[in-house]
Amino acid sequence: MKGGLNFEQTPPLQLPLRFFLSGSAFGILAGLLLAVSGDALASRWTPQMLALTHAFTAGFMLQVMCGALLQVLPVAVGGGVPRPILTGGLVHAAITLGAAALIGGFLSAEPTLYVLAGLLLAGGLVPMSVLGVIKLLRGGGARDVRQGLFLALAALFATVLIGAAMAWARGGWATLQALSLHDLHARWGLAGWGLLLLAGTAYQVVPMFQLTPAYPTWMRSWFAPALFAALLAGMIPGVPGWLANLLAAAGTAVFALATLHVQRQRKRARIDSTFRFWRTAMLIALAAALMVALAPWVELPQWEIAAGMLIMHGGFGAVMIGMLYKIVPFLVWLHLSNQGCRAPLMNQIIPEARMSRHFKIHLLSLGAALACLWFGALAPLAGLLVAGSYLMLGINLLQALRCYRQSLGEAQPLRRRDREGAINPRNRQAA
Amino acid sequence: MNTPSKLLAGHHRKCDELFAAAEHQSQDKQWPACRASAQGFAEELLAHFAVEEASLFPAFEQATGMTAGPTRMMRIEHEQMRELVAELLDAAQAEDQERFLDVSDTLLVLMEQHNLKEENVLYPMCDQAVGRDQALVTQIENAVSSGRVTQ
Repeated sequence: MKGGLNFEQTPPLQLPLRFFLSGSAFGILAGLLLAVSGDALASRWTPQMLALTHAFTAGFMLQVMCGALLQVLPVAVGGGVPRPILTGGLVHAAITLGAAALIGGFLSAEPTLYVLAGLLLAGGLVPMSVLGVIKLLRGGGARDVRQGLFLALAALFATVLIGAAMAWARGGWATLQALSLHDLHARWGLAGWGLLLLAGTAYQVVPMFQLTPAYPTWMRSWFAPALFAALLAGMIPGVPGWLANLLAAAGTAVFALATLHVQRQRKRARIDSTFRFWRTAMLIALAAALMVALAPWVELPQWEIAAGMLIMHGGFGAVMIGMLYKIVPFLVWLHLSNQGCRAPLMNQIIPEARMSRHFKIHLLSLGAALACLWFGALAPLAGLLVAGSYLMLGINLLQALRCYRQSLGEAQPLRRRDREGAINPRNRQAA
Repeated sequence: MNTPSKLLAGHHRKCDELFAAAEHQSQDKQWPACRASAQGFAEELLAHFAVEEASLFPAFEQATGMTAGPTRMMRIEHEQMRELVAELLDAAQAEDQERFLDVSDTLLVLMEQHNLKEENVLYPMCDQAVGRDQALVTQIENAVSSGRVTQ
């Protein structure tokens, strides 16, 4: 715990941004794959659909979550992973190349790409989860936060191992029986790693952004272990898949309802884009949970895919975009301030009007993506809208980075003067 | 018995209330009320920083020998918040709504992530190191109840 909360442990701005920008690129790729999907939308299992799904999950979501995790660890437990620049850089390279190989593998059915994807993704994520877990066990910080992050990393570990086994099965490195683990893989990935990390983060950021009361104590203590136990129970032979999915859906609904409940009690009157993205994502998550719960009784072939789109693009996609729009401008501000620069305010780094426009495009793209399941001719339009949404994210993040570099450049002469003995601009008042 | 973490975390919530009221009033352009809330918020927040910097942090640093670690970081963030609070009061004085809301947005995130680090990491460390120092606890009690620092 010693030495926590140091500047030295705050990763440089470029590190999380590298993850977030790569994530946006994978989101754009997912949209483009949707645009050219054609008949592939008929089933979850067509190669193009698997490529599209993994562009979202192993591409967009994984990148954003890893970038956020490296940022959250120091705040939550008073210390991050050792040598964040090197560790983060290696993890980023491994998961970027791994996700690209996986998508390429699905599209080309090339065994080498599958093998490579499994190696790269496991090679990047297994050490990261182990390092994270060690930090959590040794670090200080609130117990519920550490517990949530710990279980999220354990779920990531399970997701990656099952996923790698499936990739290797396709590449001829493992038994084809591994391919039957697809539902387990999806549950550990979305309801485990995805939802547990989101919940652990939400306990911190939802009250912070909107001045809501804290999430109920029972939830902070019991939600993560209960969900994790439910996911474990889903692995017991003989437990039907529909029951395991129902438990995961119930967990999602509990989280979404709790979030909507605390948000209703917010003290802050101001409604910004982050809040809109969050609230919409929670409503969408409720709808998706209901669809997953009803799936065994619904004969529509599009049902499962629609639920998947709601979960990934509507739920996780929206919530992550909403969070990035608060976190990235703040990080830019903080890094500039810490370097003694005159930092523009957050709303000047990414203006609210741009985020608000993006919110509308994101909703429109979700509507179009759902509609194209029934009206196939809409797929190119829907795909372009989805790609457009992640392109807007990328552009806005780049705008933040440009703003950072510009402010840093403008401050150079001042900082030089400061070094030469003039007064530091930030200490003017004190002086 | 009161502990530094209980008292100071509770006081964070009090500051939040005043902040939310000021922001609400600026949205409604109720400037006299907004100025009063912003002033109240600033007084509470500055008293909070003052008791931490004058009493809690030195006691913690003395007890643990950690002078360059978390308390240094917290002091720097206090300084950053003081600047934003001054800008917030200026904007309220000038009745400049756009400026007020821009400043309040940045100040809120800075303040809340700061509180989170204190409540998650630093305060528990302080409770452990100096939580039994009754004179210190009394000083904190006085500061958070009156909005002033007692020396």
